[in-house]
Amino acid sequence: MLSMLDRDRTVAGPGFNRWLIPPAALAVHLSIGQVYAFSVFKQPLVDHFGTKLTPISIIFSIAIAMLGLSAAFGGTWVERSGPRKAMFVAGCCWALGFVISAFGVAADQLWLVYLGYGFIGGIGLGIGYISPVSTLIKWFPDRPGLATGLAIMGFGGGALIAGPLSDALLSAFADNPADAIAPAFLTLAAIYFVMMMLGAFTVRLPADDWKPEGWDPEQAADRSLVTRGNVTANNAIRTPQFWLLWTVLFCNVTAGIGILEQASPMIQDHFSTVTAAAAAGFVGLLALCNMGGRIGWSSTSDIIGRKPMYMIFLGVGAVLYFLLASTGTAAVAWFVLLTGVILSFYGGGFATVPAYLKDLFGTIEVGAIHGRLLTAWSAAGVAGPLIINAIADSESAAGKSGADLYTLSLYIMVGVLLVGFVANLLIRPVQERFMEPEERHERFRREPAPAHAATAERS
Amino acid sequence: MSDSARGITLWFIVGGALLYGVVNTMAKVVELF
Repeated sequence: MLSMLDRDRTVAGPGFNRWLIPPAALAVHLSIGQVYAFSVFKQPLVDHFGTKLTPISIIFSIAIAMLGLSAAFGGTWVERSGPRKAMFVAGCCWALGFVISAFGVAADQLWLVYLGYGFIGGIGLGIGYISPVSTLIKWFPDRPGLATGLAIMGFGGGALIAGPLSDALLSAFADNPADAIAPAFLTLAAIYFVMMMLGAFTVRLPADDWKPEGWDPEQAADRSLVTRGNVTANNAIRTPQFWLLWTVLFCNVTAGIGILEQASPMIQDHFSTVTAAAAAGFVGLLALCNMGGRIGWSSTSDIIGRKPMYMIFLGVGAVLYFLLASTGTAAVAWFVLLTGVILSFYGGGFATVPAYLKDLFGTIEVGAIHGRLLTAWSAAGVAGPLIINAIADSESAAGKSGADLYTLSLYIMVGVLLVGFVANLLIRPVQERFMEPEERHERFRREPAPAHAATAERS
Repeated sequence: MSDSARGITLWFIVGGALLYGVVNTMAKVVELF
């Protein structure tokens, strides 16, 4: 039965419609995107365990840390096992995480929630995040930005779905949300397991010699940064291009996450007329901009190229941050417009990066390389909020208030984005010495080699 | 169930789920304006 998960059992036959693949990827990303709506459970968990916010926040932190670690270390396995097995494992981990957490809640054992949602669920997050990426790139070599944008948009959209769904479940199972957590977790486990299995059993790999009708790979490679060769994950991390792109992603995410984390208090500090309900609407609008940017900007990158796209994310982003710091208090609509575009750049940066990696390193291990690059996300997840919060605290201690709490950190973000802009500017095509010989590429496609046997002789 | 049927069904499921999320979010966004 498990052999049907094997890579060679998932190769599509002739005439398979490639547009059946994006919903499979979306099913996985919409499910794991729930993690961004975890905050819905925070207060009920605090009330249930009779503890403070910090021990509950650790659940989310463990999950995000495991996302980064499993994407970084599991990427090569995902690449070699194929998307179906990877999605299957991700679905099992994600659902099992909820089930164990439900038992933890029922038994009043917080450590079980750390183990379930945080550790095991976090592994599901990392494997699930990278599992459809290289498959989509192989099916859509002519439009990789659109394809990966569609999937990664799902990760942003997952929170939009999970937020109201979790609220509804918490209200449905008990009068007090703190008593409804366990059945809500079990329900989410069932829903996400079914969704992710549907995705896993729909996904297919293209045959080795498949290419879209009328598409010429040689013509596509005429763009200055698009490689004709292939680089393994082990070799990719030895190239300056990988670390420049790591810096680009780190800077883009740091700048965006700083606003995302503080959106609600930030708008209320800027405008005393904005109520808590309106601030919640602002947070929702940013989530929509984040999601829209993932599909919109990533698709645009197929037309204008990846490097110019990031020049816009980082260069225009820096200008927008400057305007936000200097003129953000002018009007609510102006503030909302600036932050909305900045958040669309944040989402676009996430969604465009797999296509950028494909351009630079080829498709042979793009999923594994993407997994390693996501460590930039984990690092930015710490740095962004740290900068905004620490500076807001110190400005508050210095007697400042309102919009003045954020001015300095917004100017710092301008600098962060300019660093990313320069890093992007420095990206050049990967040198041939890092690329695999064609015969090894062919051998890899027929019979994946052991993870460690890839590369050293080329570096 | 054929690949096509499963894929098309999945398009409807993920599309419906996204619509549910967007509509619920828009209901909050109107509070802002």
